[in-house]
Amino acid sequence: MRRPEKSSHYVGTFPQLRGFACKIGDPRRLWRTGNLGWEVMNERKPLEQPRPMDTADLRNRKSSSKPAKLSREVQARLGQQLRAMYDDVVNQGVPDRFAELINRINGDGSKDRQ
Amino acid sequence: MDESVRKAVLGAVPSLRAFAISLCGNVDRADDLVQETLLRALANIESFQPGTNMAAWLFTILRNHFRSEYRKRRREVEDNEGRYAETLKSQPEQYGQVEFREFREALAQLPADQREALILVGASGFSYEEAAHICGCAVGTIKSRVNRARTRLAELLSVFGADDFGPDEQTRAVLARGGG
Repeated sequence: MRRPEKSSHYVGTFPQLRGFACKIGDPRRLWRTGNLGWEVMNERKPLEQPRPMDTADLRNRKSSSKPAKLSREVQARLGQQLRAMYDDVVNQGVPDRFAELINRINGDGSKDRQ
Repeated sequence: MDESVRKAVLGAVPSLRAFAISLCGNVDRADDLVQETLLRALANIESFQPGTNMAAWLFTILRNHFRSEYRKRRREVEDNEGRYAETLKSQPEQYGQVEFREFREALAQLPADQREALILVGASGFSYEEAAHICGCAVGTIKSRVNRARTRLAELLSVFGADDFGPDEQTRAVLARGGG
């Protein structure tokens, strides 16, 4: 798939159009509707796929607005660490001060104030 | 108080403490928070609906109490996030904070909203719905906070590539202690 790098019709020189074309899908559809009279679509094969650089641009733009997706393995590791840290405290059980506090409340609902 | 309710309260205490320590980064302060939470809960035990999740009920009380205290304290100390991190550094010997120090320090750098969401879902074992109920926000909000928290933690701990993670010292320490 050759591209005329110097052509004034080349959509690739307009990044915003490129992004637009990528989003829409098949640009011929646009041209057929008559909304946009892009000559480039008339005279040559439309841009089916963005160039590798374009996809990188799109990805970068995306990551600035959304957090990057972590791999399952990284997520699993983070989860492991978080739970290990948390369970370290959980495994200490119920400190006496809290057991006493709770047991001070009688089974019949009345409070046994000491 | 019904015996089963008492048992449920008692059973929730260990997790409640872990949550409190994760929130404020200081064991003594966390235990005060748990004590205040239990006193409030026991004084209002009639408002607990039997059959519902006791832990979630207690977590909600603790979380709200912490938030109102947090707001009060923020007036006294400007940078509360920085203070949290500072608290950790000034108490390196405190029980339960040595092995997990690096992880706790990373956790301390998260915004409070993200930190609590991550802990509730990732450690306390609540569903997104329960966590949303505890924090008084939408389920989608919790999901996005958890995602952001994970991403930020991974950045802080440099674990984007699994290979960068290095030997899992914390896990090994836990295993070693468990075996010995």
